[in-house]
Amino acid sequence: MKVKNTLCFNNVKVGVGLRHPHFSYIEENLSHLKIDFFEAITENFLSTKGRPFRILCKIREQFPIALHGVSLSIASSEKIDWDYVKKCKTLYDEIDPCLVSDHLCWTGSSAHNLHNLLPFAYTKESFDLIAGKIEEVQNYLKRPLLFENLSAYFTLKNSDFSEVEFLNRLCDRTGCGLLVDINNIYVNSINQKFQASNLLNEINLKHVRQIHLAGHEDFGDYLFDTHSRPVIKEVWHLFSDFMMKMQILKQSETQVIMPRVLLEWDEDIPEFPVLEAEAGKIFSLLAGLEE
Amino acid sequence: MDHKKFQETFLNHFRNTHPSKDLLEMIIPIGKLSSGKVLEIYKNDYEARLLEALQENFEALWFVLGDELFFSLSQKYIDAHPSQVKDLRFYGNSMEQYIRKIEFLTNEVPFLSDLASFEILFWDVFHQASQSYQQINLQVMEHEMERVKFLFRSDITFFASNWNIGEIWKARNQEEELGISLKLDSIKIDDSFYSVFFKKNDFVKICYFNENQYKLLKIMKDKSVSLGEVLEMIPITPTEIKNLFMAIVKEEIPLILVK
Repeated sequence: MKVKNTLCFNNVKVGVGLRHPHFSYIEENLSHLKIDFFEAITENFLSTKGRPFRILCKIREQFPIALHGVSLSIASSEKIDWDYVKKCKTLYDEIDPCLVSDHLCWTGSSAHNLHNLLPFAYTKESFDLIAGKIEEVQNYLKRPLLFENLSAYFTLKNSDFSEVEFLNRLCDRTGCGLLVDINNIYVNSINQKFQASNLLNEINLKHVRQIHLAGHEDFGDYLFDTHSRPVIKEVWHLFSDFMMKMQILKQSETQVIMPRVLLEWDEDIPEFPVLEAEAGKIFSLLAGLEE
Repeated sequence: MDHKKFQETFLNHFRNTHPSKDLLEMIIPIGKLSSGKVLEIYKNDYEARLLEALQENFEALWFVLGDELFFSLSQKYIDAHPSQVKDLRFYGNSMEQYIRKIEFLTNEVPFLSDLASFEILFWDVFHQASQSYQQINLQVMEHEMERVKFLFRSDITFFASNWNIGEIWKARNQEEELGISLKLDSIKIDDSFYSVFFKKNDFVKICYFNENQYKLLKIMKDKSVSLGEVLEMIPITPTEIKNLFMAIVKEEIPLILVK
């Protein structure tokens, strides 16, 4: 898909995940890093005022920071954990993040946190429950949240909607936004046997505010979303098609905003320059789309 | 099965060895995997995350026990302690009490629970904010020594053990920094350990004292008494006092003099 001389991706912001093995490097090289923003894991900064928090604040002086949570558990059948949400709000007030996000999932219960992003059935019942909870949290935070699609190793037979349909509807009803993880979609497409591009076509682009890219591992029987490797070529293709679509639609739809793009790497973390170079591929790829 | 029931059943699966038949029937597993197998993926991932947290939170325990024993202890701890924390930094906070209950470990490695307790305190101090420091004026003390009291900065933490926890902690660091394998035999493990630690810039400063010096400071902190009052409680020598105050200045222990 190519549209001559009309597309410009200059304004797309590219970032990387902030991970503690890189703290010293980042602190020493802050003024000449070749990225536009960082994304930090919210939970890593909720209970510290020590070095991690000091470095986060120092980075924030020069870079926008997106805060990405893993514990909101918005799809839990339990009530909202207000103690957690209040801690998040304090952090948001201190850091003034450019985006705040979590996942469309549940993570266990107050008695047993499974520290996993767990799928659930996309039913009318769960929709009403989750939409209500999102509205409550957003009202308290006085800002919209983004929700990320999962990599899931099972689905539920009693779902009334697809995950994308569920997410689109949640955004329509609550004003929340979408964080589209393209690697998760690719992993699910192989594991669950569907066309990733079809699913990406179903996403309501006006809700998309951020994109995640990452690598995964092939365990033979299935792909596992490890964030431990470079992004694979199939995911790059899906990403470039998606960005083209967004840019084309942006020209006619004022509600479409070009999303921030983030490269995640959480296991077997390489040196920061390797990560920076991988993020550099995003800049190059977007520049290539303009030609 | 409604939303709430599904989540309850799923959680029960984690606690029980036998998966629920209802749960297995509700699930559409990925690829060629069975429902049981995909639930196992989540369970394995859960256990791996908690093990990783324990490895980070208890580096010195890991160093002392070695991989096999540490992983075995961790697995038992994970089985007995479902995570109730959101921040995995806090997972393992009852490790000290848990170790005390394991007779075999307490007999074989009697300092292990103290070491766990030390590591928890160490990381608590590490994650506190850096605070300002004002050097203490010893000349003021010389004239009104008996009346002097100290205000202790909030991050100052006391830790004492009958075992040489400080050397074990250092050994685990040296092994990492020097890339050499250290044996515990090279450490005088049954020397007592009296320490005060606090935040210095980004890091945690550990100061070593003898028993009298440690008690003097601890009583002054806990009871808010003057130096004169505490000297009546502890048989401390003038040399020990002199060395204590020299260390306070040299190590920049964040105390404030109050007259």
